[in-house]
Amino acid sequence: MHRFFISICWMLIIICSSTLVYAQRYTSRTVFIGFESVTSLETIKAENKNGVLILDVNSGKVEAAVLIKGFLFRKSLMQQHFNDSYLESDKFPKAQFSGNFDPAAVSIQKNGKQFIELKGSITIHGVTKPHHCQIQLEFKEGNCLGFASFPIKPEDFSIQVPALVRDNINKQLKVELNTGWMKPNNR
Amino acid sequence: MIKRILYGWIILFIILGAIGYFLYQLKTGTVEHQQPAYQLTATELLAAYQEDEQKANEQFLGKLIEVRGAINLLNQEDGFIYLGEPTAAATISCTLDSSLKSSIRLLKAGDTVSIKGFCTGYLIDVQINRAQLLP
Repeated sequence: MHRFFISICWMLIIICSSTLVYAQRYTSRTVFIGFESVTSLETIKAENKNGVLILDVNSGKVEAAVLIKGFLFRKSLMQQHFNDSYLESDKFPKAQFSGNFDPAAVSIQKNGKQFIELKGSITIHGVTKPHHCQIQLEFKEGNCLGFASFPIKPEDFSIQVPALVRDNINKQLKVELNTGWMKPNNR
Repeated sequence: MIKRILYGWIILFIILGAIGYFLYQLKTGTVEHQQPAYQLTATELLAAYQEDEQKANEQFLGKLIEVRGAINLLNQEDGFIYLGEPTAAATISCTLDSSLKSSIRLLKAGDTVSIKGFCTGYLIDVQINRAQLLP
């Protein structure tokens, strides 16, 4: 009887721990990614609500990707130039990020905001560069919300801006990412 | 004579400037009155991308397409419609034009619909942007 009780306890521990490991992976297919360029001449904004992010809190791995043609601008000519001339989205249809953080720095049991340092590489316009930024993770009853804001320089990714509009576009763009609330292993 | 030529050039510059300004200010419109380049089912589009992404991109990327399929999942708040088999891991993810979000209020999972929008490529799903639900 005693042995039977211990076996049941072990089984419960194994089931609970495997569920916990499983629950530490978050996926979103509706990540908001926006960027903004502000100059005295013009403010340019674009947004994409279809970014994909996979966050594995257990291993500390983050993978994110976005389709360049999915960025929407208010002005159609800006969108056309962004795709055809600057990002060449027919040739380079995706931007991707792959990185790591210290999994010990994150606790999904703790409700509230946690800040983590993320290191990895970002690929835009076919050019891959090392990237480092801080991301904010907010946990609430096992659900997770990720937010990040970081600068990007177009020239680092061989994005050529014609001299005629060079003063209209800031040399450094502000990029924002918001995952929305993600359930463990949920769409 | 010189004055006339000068005035002519000034008027020409004003007209060209006005046309340029008008084109620059043109907002991104809806797809309502545009004809799709391709009409196909959600299964056909997904199969094309899963078979050969590069070839599918050459055919569909940036093109206005009309896709017909059953609704796998709906997000009415943000205007997302996912077309595909009920248990499929990959779908056709359609993001409705922000002005047309209310058109999905009466829809439910399992309904078969036709959607027109721009194909923006393939990540986990094939993505259709600036989409419009067709009657």
